[in-house]
Amino acid sequence: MRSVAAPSDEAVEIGQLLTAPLDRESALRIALAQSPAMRRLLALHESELNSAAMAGRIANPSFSYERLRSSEGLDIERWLAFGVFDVLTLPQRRRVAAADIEAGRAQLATDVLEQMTAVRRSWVEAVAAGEKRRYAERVLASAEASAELAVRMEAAGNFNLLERARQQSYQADARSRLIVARQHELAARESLGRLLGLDGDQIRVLKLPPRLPDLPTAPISAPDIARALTATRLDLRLANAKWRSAAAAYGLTRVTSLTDVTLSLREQETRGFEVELALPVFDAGDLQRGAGRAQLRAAAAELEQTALVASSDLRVGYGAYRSAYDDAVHHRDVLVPLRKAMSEETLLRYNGMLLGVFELLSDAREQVDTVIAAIEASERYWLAEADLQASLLGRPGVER
Amino acid sequence: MTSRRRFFELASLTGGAVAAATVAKAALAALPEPVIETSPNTRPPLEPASGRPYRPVVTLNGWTLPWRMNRGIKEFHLVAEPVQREFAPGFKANLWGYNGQSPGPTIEVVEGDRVRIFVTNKLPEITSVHWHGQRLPSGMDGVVGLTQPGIPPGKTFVYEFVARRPGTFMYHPHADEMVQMAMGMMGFWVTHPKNKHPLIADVDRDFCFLLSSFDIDPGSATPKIMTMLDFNIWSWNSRVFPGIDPLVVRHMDRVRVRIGNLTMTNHPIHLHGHEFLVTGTDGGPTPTTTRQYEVTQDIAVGQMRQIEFLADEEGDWAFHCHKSHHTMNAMGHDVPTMIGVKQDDLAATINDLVPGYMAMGERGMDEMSTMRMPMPKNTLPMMMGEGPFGAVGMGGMFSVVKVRRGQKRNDYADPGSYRHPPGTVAYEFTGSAPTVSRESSAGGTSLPLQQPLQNAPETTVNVRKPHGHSGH
Ligand SMILES: [Cu+2]
Repeated sequence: MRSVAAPSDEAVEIGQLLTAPLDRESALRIALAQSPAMRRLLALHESELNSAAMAGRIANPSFSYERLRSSEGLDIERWLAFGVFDVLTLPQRRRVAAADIEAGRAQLATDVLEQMTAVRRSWVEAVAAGEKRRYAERVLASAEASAELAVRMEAAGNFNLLERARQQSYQADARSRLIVARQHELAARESLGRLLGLDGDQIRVLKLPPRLPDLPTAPISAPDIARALTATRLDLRLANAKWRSAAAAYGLTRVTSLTDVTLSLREQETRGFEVELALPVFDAGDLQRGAGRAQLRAAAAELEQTALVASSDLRVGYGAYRSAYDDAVHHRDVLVPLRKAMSEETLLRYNGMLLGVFELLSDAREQVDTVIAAIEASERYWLAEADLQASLLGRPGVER
Repeated sequence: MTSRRRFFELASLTGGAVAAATVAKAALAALPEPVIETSPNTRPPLEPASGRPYRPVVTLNGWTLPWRMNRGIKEFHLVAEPVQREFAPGFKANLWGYNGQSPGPTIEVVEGDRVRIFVTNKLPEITSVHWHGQRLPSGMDGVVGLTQPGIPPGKTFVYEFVARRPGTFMYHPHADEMVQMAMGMMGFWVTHPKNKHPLIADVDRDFCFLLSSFDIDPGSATPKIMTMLDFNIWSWNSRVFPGIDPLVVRHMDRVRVRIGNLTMTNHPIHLHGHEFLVTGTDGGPTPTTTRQYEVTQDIAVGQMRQIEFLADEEGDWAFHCHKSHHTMNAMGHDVPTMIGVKQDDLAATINDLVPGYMAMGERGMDEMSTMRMPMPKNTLPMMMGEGPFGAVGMGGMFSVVKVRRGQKRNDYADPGSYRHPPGTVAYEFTGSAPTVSRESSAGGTSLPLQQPLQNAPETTVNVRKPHGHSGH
């Protein structure tokens, strides 16, 4: 595959992507180009890809990712899903019965899509871990200032041991929290690096953005979901392909015109979805051979089952997504501003000598706790968003 | 009754003066029109327009309630109501008071006057008025439940009695008393002597004020009514320095100051530059044989004192409660002492965490009186006031007695800062220390000196102020 994909360009591009703080898009691109799972998929199809006839018909991810610079995450995955789908359905389109190969390919597709989701999640976790570690450092800085002042207070005879020790205990707690935060960050970076196929040196120098992206101004709407779903939900398309394949094998020549499964979303109230499945109608009289007929029925049942699971999966995914969005917005628009107002008032009270510097620093630590909670809410949102994207793609066979 | 009630409802909506004009004459005839004052400034003394003559008092940052004579009876109308009171420019509080202000107006009568006081309740709960210190029929004493039913909201009660003895009195509710007094309901009462009284001197200036305390969280406006001891606003007539007007007197005036204490603690009131006599207490004028010169008079909870002095020293003389935290505005009781604790090198770190932070207190707290830093809204700095020589750094129960040679009789206008004669102001020493001649014959024969003085070891004594904390 590398020979086909002009590896030197690829390596240069990856090197360039790693010099700047790695955004989510770039993480996905590196994973596409470099992840072992992706390479395995492409290697397995190398013979087909090497065929000139195929090259024009199958979108080759490593050829194409450079053209996707300005695209959004959804697009890159949709595009990937099409690519994978093309690979998966190639046998049908070529009218070649290759069911055993198809099963293996389905597993590969699952691996790749799962990995894409894992990359998104891991990137979110790594960025959030870095952000939380930096805030843990701020908490420690505040606690250190308190502790240092307390030591000086005791030396000047203004504090007793109890008060000094109390301030020092805040510092000790803050240091412990920072140790944990640093370990979380390290683990999260390693996890991301593994998924991107980076080596130890690359992970060490890996730069990440200082914070998670801003929340979108509006959540992904139900109609958006409907559009994305009908275009990409892989498990449904796969089940549909199987049904068509079974129908073809059975000899229903007109089946192509009959078996277009209608995948549509019916929005129920605000958050519910139902995938509507219109199974092709066929004349039972045409079904003559028992074994083929059973196979066809099995494919139809699988398609039906897949649609049920897809509906449920989407409901769960979109529900989780919306809750996470609402909560993250609540943190951003209510909790953080409230805490900020409290801190501003606390400073005014300090100015008026209505409270002391230790309360001021304690308030600063509490404010950081609120900010960390907001980062965590934002992190939950972006994780839910990654899961929702996975739902739209329909990670076949993936448990959540 | 209905029309009267509507009158008060209307009055509360539009302000008394405007509403009064629209009220039927019949209603006015029945009840004296309530006089409402909305300014916290000291009003000139109210010369009596009817009844026996007397020399009226000046209520510090307050006023005297006009009356009407009705067949020989002095009729007053007090309206108990929610008010807004400015403690000093920049700080207004939601209080309860009388006739637009807290404290209520001073009532001035003459010994032997028959007095009828209409009390209209515009508060959301019952109230009553207790005429603190008066000789009167038991049923006029104003103790809810014990001597009368409470005055319901919207109703008017009548109190009537003869002001039997001359002296200094107060009035305040005796219904839900803790809450209503914590909200500022109180007023002054002066009964002037009918005839020349051997123990009551004629004075040129006669001031009066009530000591009151509140707990108003900085940034808020309503007193915390459940506070028992930890008050943060220590006021004279619901004013705090620098909002308290000076006591302006003419040089060689004989001055009387009447003070009543309706706070929950005692206040040692201290006058600079003069000695005074305590000429009256709760029970009336003191016998001359009991009078001694003082510069500080402690006034216990619920007590009244009248002090008199001859203003024979020109100048600006501080006049204040001697509890130093009572001459402060709202302050934090748990602020740690930072004296001697270097903070400058940590300021950058702290500023990174708390933008706008500034190190304070390393050299004491005087910097507080000169720094102008943003504070919670509707709050006064703990220490404030500008004098001719810089920041005064005071608050609360602090004012100035201004004695001036050029001040006109009956002129209470602030003459400005005192212009000290040359050479009479403390100045910075810039010369060298004068040599001191030492006595070397100390000890005598009973305790002979063991060694020559010039070889005596230097000793250092560390003085530590006693530290303790109890209620205020
Ligand atoms: Cu005091």
